[in-house]
Amino acid sequence: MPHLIEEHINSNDPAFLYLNLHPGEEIKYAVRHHWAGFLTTLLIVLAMGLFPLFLLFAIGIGFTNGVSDFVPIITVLLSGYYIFLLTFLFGSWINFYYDIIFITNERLINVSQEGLLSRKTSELSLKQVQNVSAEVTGFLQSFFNYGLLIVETAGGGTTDDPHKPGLQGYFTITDVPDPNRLARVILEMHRALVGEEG
Amino acid sequence: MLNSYILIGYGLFLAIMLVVNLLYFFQVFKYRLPGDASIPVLSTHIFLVLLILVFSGIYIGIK
Repeated sequence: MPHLIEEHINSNDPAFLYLNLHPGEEIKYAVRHHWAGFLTTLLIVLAMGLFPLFLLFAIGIGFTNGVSDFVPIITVLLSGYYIFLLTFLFGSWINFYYDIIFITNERLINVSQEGLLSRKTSELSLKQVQNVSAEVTGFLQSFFNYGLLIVETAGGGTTDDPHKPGLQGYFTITDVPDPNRLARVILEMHRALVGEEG
Repeated sequence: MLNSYILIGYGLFLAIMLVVNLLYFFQVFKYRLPGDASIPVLSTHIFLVLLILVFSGIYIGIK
């Protein structure tokens, strides 16, 4: 999954300025959510896209003289509906695709896109990592090898539930590609950092 | 069949959609990363929206 887990990143690229990297800090991995996590939204939009066509087909059968008198207004309504649907799909895709996890040599930075012009960045020092676990459940996740990555931190948690994303104590990231490998990578980087100090 | 109120309403709706889409475009150009899929997806989105607008416009014009 080279396009989902990027390595060899030029940390000096202006595109990463908003991350406010420390001097000497380098981005080792940039991880995006697995595309299979977007399938549900895609299927819903597809169903919503097909629904008016089925409806028109049914109405066309029901009315013996057809719907030819209403064609202009139906065209306006359908056009508006599909433009709305495309905009909704594009917005959902941005929310999905622009959620990125950066693993640097010092920190874990989770950039979360939360709607139109709303973006949340949370970070965790790799030194604070206590435990990392990966969860792959269900057919889709097992087939495409993606799932939940749970990073347990040294900070006090606001909940005991590791499945609630973005809470203190647990750094939980959904739809992560190859979560077992990433869990190992994070733990190895944590050990390297702690080892350097110790 | 299409009176001016319907067309004004449709125009307003399209204007709102245009503003929303422009905000999304701004977001894409601000936060996209080098070599990611943003530009191909954005181009496809623009193409599909224009396709709907042009064909519906032609169809409404003919009728």
